[in-house]
Order: sequence, then structure tokens, then C-alpha cells
Amino acid sequence: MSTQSIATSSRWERFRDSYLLYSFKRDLIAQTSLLIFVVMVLAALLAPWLAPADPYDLAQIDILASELPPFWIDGADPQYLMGTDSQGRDLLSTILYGMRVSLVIGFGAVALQATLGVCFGLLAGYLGGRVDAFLMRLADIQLSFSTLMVAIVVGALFKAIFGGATYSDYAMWLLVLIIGLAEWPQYARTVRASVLAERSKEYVDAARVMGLRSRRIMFRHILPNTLSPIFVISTVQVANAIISEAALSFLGLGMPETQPSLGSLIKSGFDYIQSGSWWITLIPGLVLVVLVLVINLLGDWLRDVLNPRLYKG
Amino acid sequence: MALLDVNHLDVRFALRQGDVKALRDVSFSLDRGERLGIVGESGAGKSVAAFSLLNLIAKPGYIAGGSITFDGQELTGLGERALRKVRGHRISMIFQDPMMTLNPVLSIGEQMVECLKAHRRISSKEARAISLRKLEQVQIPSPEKRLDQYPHELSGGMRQRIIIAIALLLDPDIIIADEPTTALDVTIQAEIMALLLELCEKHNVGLILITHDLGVVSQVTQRMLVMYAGRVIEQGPTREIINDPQHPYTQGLINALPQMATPGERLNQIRGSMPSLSQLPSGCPFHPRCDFTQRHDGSERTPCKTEVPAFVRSGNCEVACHMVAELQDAERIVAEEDNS
Amino acid sequence: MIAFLIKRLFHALLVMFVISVIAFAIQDNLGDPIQQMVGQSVPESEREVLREELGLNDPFLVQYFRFAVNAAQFDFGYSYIYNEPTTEVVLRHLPATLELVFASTLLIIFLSVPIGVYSAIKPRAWLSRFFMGVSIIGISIPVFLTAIVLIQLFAIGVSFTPFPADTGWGAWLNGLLSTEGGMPAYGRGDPVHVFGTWTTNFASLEGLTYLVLPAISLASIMLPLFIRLIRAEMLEVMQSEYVKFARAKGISMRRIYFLHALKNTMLPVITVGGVQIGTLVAYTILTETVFQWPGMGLMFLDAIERSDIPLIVTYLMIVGLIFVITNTLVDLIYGLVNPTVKLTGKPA
Repeated sequence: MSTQSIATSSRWERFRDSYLLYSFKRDLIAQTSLLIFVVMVLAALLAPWLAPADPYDLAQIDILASELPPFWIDGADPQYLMGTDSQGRDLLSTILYGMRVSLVIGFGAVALQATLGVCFGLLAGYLGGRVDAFLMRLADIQLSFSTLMVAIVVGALFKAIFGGATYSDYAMWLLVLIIGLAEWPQYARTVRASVLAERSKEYVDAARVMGLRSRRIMFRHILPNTLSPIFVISTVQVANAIISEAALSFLGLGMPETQPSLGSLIKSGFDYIQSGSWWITLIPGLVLVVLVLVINLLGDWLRDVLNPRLYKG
Repeated sequence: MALLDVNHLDVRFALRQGDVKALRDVSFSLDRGERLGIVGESGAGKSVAAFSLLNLIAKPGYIAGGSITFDGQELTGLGERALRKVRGHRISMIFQDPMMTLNPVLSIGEQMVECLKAHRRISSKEARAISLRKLEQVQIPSPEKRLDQYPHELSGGMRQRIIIAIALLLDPDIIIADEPTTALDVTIQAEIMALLLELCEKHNVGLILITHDLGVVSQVTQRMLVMYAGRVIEQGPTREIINDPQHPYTQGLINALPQMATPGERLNQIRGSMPSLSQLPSGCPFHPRCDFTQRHDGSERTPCKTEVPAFVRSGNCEVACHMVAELQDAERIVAEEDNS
Repeated sequence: MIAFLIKRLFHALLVMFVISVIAFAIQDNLGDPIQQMVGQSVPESEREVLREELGLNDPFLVQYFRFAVNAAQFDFGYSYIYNEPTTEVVLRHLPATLELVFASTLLIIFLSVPIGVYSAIKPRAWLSRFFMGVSIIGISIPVFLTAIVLIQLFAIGVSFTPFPADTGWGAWLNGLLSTEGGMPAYGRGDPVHVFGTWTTNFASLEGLTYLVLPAISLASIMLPLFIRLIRAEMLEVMQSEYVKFARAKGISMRRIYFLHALKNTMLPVITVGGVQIGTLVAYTILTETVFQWPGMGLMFLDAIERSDIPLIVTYLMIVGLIFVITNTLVDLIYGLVNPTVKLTGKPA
């Protein structure tokens, strides 16, 4: 027990004295971004308690109160702070719930693509030969098609296979699957490059000479050394996944309007922009941009601080 | 007056934590056709000294004081445009690693011709002809073909020959060579050095040779200076310094040469390592590693830890060492006593 | 050169093979040509006869071979929606998309290179910081949102009047905050006919106005990416030994920036550019949806909506072909710029 506490305290001290924390304390943009990000995540998590209304509850929706403007515009109803959408749902509540959906899909998809990509990257880099050639050729082809295109095609196929109604029911998990499948090559290439660099180093030889099995060498010895590029990519990828989800939802291949994400909110509002109800589309849009922007800013900061070897091109 | 006169040169790097002094009070001179060696460990400031002559130190480095007079012209305050006329024209440089020095996407010919055209109003055809002649001078096989080749098609030794040819293109007065052979194969090093020496002698070009190789310095240069932690600690005729080094550091360097060691014994290393420029010890920067901070009677030689030593003359050399100064004082007193 | 081309061609064929297998699998599993031909009312026995006649009961490989042979002749069958050969439908929509991509590419190249180079040469200038700030915001805005904002600002117009409009300065400030609107933001207008199914928006000023907002939207996602990439690469190149050596040779800074540094900077940029062309085509689906731009992307989305499997398959094959061709071209350009790539096929 005492060794345990020593280990944790030294880890905490290591973190406290680290360059990461030092540079964070000096970087106002990183601090602000993290603050906004944490507030948004909390707001999304606590949506059921924070939101004035439950947008999933059809009984609470008043169709007569549709397209009401936000509070600072004439004709607003103080009951609806940010106004209402075309179906009369409270926009603020819908946005809070939508942010929740977007974040779940964003993080879920990144978890999936990271798992896939790290495994494939480790395999390709460590085994080399045909496995490597096959996986990397696959990654090349997929990337040359652009991840969004792959996601759209896979999404379209799923929709055709399952039919529109089933697709809507499982949309959240399908989106995680689609975006996860579409974006693994980013991780795989970076991890592979790191593995190739690490593998030639002496400690890996030493581990092999000691008779460790290759799976153990990969996960216990090589993987920890590829963590900082993975970390940096992950931040950017969460932002990308949220954008991809929004794009798919905007195209009608994502979340249904009954259970909207930020993307499907923008889509449903877009039909009303010509009639002057800009807020239904632009307020969720602004929330989406701020969310993605703070994640990107954090990613930029991390990349500058950790400065890992990233795969270019 | 010498061709190149460097006086009390001070170079600093402006970092967030404050200025780091990379060169302090560096003075030396070079006559026309003279060959000078600058010797020291890596980090001693040799390269900074070389690059600061043409004000090519990378930011955040800057020249904080002192003067550099070349052919009667002060270089330190000179603008970029005026300096450009000196660079590559009157003073040219040879870099350390030939694999990195040539631009990979431009042909050898382009990289030679552009240099000529930057300094002279000549046609491309003339420039090409001159380039060809210089390539012949550095003894490159089939030079005509090389002009249209790209750096990656040539070996390291070949590239360094081309860089020497570029350095000679405009018949400069001085060539600054920053460790020109360290990145090369051992077998080629001697060849390249011999070529450089031959060309400098033939065209009466001055050479500032920066190296950590005392052997090369003794073969090539007439005078040398030894640098330590951003300062010159000893300078004078090469032969005198090599045969009879005065500064404990120079002595250590020469003792560390493999040929000075008894076979079967360890090499004579200088203990410790050079301090970082941002955390220099007080007094003589070498004192923590020096074996002579105590007198023979065991008493502490206190100035070593408190005062930066000034230069004292010793033969034709100048040495910055408290011990040497003290011994000279003692000798002088003995001599005066003998006289009286 | 020939060996290089053969190698690239082989790679291209491999990619096309993979795409065709995927496309065929889609058609085989999702498309039911019988349903399309005869409708619901025909009894099962008759369908079975038809199926046998059309070879739909043949082994997978035989069917794939037939598909591949037809695909090589650009014959993918009939579209359900349009009731005409799918290839003709796609070709009719192709010019609109290509013009949009072309206009965006022009914007991207002519803006990203000068801005990227400038912010690398003067990394501390306030203008560089401004560009970098704008570009990180730029990559955070999804392309369809940019499009919507542009429509709100320049097609619908915004009137924001917090200042007293009856004073001269108030009206001026209000004018700064408000936009006129009126830019066309729906469809292609009335493009000029060139030949065959090809019509162009580049031939008239009015046609160009239709192109402005969609092209800016499409460029908005890639432009910041390239600015950041060019800046980062250029900064790295400026630290290199060969740039230092060029300075030591007395070469002018202008020549160093625009020849020595830029040429090396462009190598990774060209590689990334090749990949991003694919992304650009993918984003046309979004842009065309927002602006109802009658291109392939809009057509594709329509085909998905209405399960027009032959049209989806044709779109995939033709877009795949476009990707493969552009990637090969990009590789070729890269080889021409980078002397360390041997186009001659001699061992390096």
C-alpha cells in the first residue's frame, strides 16, 4: 500500500513539474479553450437537468410556438431563451441535447478508429512484409478517396441495407461505426511510422533477446512510445469526427430530426433560412464551430508542446 | 593592417530566460593568404564565431558588441544588401555536412551560376564556363556532366568538392571552412583537406579553418586559436602551441590525442565536461576542470575562481590563464633579483 | 519515364479493380434489375425465367467478369430515376461539378501560396498572426455551415442597425455591419452551352456570379489547411543548411525565398494536394446540396435518397476514375519537380 502511494504521488509530482503543465500555465489560449471545452462537455452531460424542456418528449412540444426568435429580437417569448425551431421545440434544450449526441458520436468514433488504427499500425509496423504492404495499400486507397467520401458511401450503403427507419433507430451507433471505419488510416500510418522508428532502437532488441513475446513487446514496450503522436492526433480527430457527423447528418445520412445532433439541427433549420428564421440554423452552427474550434486550439497547443513525429501527407 | 581584424567580438542569443553570451571578447586577425585554425570542443563557440563574421548567425543570435574590419571596411553595422556583396564574393564559406549543404531540388549548375550572377554582371554562358573551370580545379571527373546533375546523384566527397568549387567561384580573399571534413568518410577526409590546402596556397586565399582535429590544424594552418566556453583562451603560431601548449586546457587537448597515450593505457581525458553557456562558473570558465588551481605548496590560487584571466604574452603566443601569469611574474621577479 | 508510367498505371488499375469489386458487390446485393424492369405484378416463376436469361443466377465470378467488361465500356445499365443510361446522366452532371472544383482549386492555389509564404517569412508580423488565427477558425467551420453563412450574408442580406441611422456616422457604421444580399445562391443560372452536354459558367459575367458563393464555400475548408501546411513546411525549410549556405553565397533573400525555399516547400504540398483533391470532390456533395448546384454530388445524393443503385454504382466508378487519374497526374508532377524521383526508370 505504501509503494502504491509513493508511485501515485511521484506521478503527480512528475505531472506537476512537467513541461506540459508549465506551458499550459503560460498559454492563455489553451486555458480559455480548455475552460470552454469543459463547460460545454458538462453542459452536454447535464442536459437532462439543465435544459428547460425535453426535446425528445413529444408532449412538451407546442407546434403553435414554432419559429419563435431568440430573446433579443422582437416577438420573442421569454419562455424560449434561444427561440424555437420549426416544430416548436425549445432551441436551447435541443442544442444542449444535440451537443450531447455530437460529443458521444465524436468520442465514440475516435475511440473506434484509434483502436482499429493502433492495432493495424502496430501489426503493419511490427510484422512488416505482406501484412504491412496490404494494410498500408488499403490505407492509401482509403485516404486517397478522402474519409468523408468513404463515410458518405458507407452511410448510404447502411441506409440502403437496413432501410431508412431502422437506420434512424440505430443512427448513433451506425455513425460511430461509419466514422470509425472511415478514419482509421490516420492512426495506422502514424503508429506504423513510430513503430518503425522505435523498432530499430536498442531496447526493443534487448526485450527480444530477453525472450519476450512479440505481442508483449508491442504493447508494453513500443506502444507507450507512440503515445504522444496518438494523443495529438486524437484531439484533431475528435474535432474531425464531430464535423463528419454534422456533415453526414446534414446530408440526411445521420441523426434523425426526432433525436437531433448539431448537424441535423443545422439541416432542419436550413429549410427556414429563406423565410428569415436564421437562428434555427445559425445558433446550433455557432455552437458547433465553437466546440470544434476549442478542440482544434487544444490540439494545436498539444502539438506544439509535445512536438511528436507526425506522418505527413 | 591585417586583411581581417576582429576585435572584442560579443555575440549573444536572446532567449526568453535572458541573453546567453555565446562569444565574449573574441579578438583575432588574419593576413592576406594566411591560414588560421580555430580549435575547441563542440559548443565552444567556434561555429558561432565563423558565422558571425558574415552576420549569418541564426536568430535569436545577434552581435552585441565589438568590431569586424575586413579590408578596411567595418562589417558589424553593415546592412543586408552591403553584406551580401561580401558574402560568397570576398569571403566565402564551406559548411560541415555536404549532404545537407546543397539544395536537393536545384542542379549543381544552377547553384553555381546563381552565385556568379549574384555578384557579377555576366551571361549564363560565361557563368557556366567559369563554373566548369572551377569544377576542373577541384578535380571532379567529367565536370561537364556534373553541372546538369542533382546533389543526390553525387557522393559526399564529390559534393564537398563542389562546395569548395562554389567557395572559390569568385576568387575570394578568405574562405571560412566550418569542419569541412568531419561528415566525410575517413578515407576521403585527407584528400579533401589536401585539395583545400593546395587551392588556398595556389590562389593565395586566406583560410579560417574551424575544427576539433588538432592534427589537421597542425598540418594546414600557420596560426591557431583555442576556444573554450565562448572565449579565446590561447592563440599564436600553430607550431608553438602544439609543441609547447601553455594553457592547461590546450595541454589537456593535446594530451588527449591517441598518439600521446601509452599503449594499453586509457587515453588521457580531460575530466568533466564543458559548462553550458547559460551557467558559466565564476572566474576562469575552465577552473572546475583545471588541475592547476592549487599552487605547488598546496595553497589555493584564488583568482582562478573569482577573476576572468587576462591575456599574457608567452613567447609568440597569448594565453589567458592565472597560473601562467603567476609563473611569469615569479620568473620576472627572480630575473630582476638576479639582475640586481 | 516509361517504367514510371507503367508502375503508376499498374497501381491505378489495382485501385480501379478494388473499386469495381465494391461497386459490383453493391449492385449484386442491393440492386434488383427484375423489379425495375417488370414491377411488382409479375409472378415469381416469370421472374425466375428472366433472371436466368439475364444471367443473374450465374456464379459470382462470371457475373463480376460481365460487369467488368461492361464497366470498361462505361456501360452500367439504366438509371431508375432518369430512365436513361446512367453514364449519360453522370456525364450531364459532370461539367457543373468540375467547374466548381476548378474554381475552388484556383482560389486555393492563388491564395494559399502567397499567404502561407508570407506568414512563414514574417512569422511575427500582425498580418501573419491574423492569417493564422483566421485559418484555425476556418478549419473549424464545416463547409456546409460556411455555405449557409455566405447565403445569409450575401444572398439574403443582413441588416444590423445598432447605431442611429439618421446621423452620417451612424448610417456609415450600420452600413458596415449590414450586407446587401442579392448574390445568386441557387443553381447555376443559365450557363452557356459549349458542346455536347457541356455547359459553362465561365463564359459570362452573370454565370460567374453564380459560381462565386459555391466556389468560396468549397475552398473554405481546404484553404486554411494549405495555408498552415505551406507555412509549416516553409518555416522548416528556412532552417535548413542549404538555405544558410545560399545566404553565405550572397544570394538575394527574394531568390532564396521563392526559389530555394519554395521549391522544397512545394514537394510535400503537392503530395498532400493530391490526397485533398479527393476530399474536395467529396465536399462538392455538401456544397452542391446547399446551393442546389446541379452537379454530380447533388445527383448522387438524390440517387441515394431514391435507392437508384445503378446510378450510385456509376457515380462511384466515375469518381473513382477521376481520383485515380488526378492522383497519377499529381505523382507525375511530383516526379517532375523532385529530381530525386527517377522518372527514367533507371535504378536510383
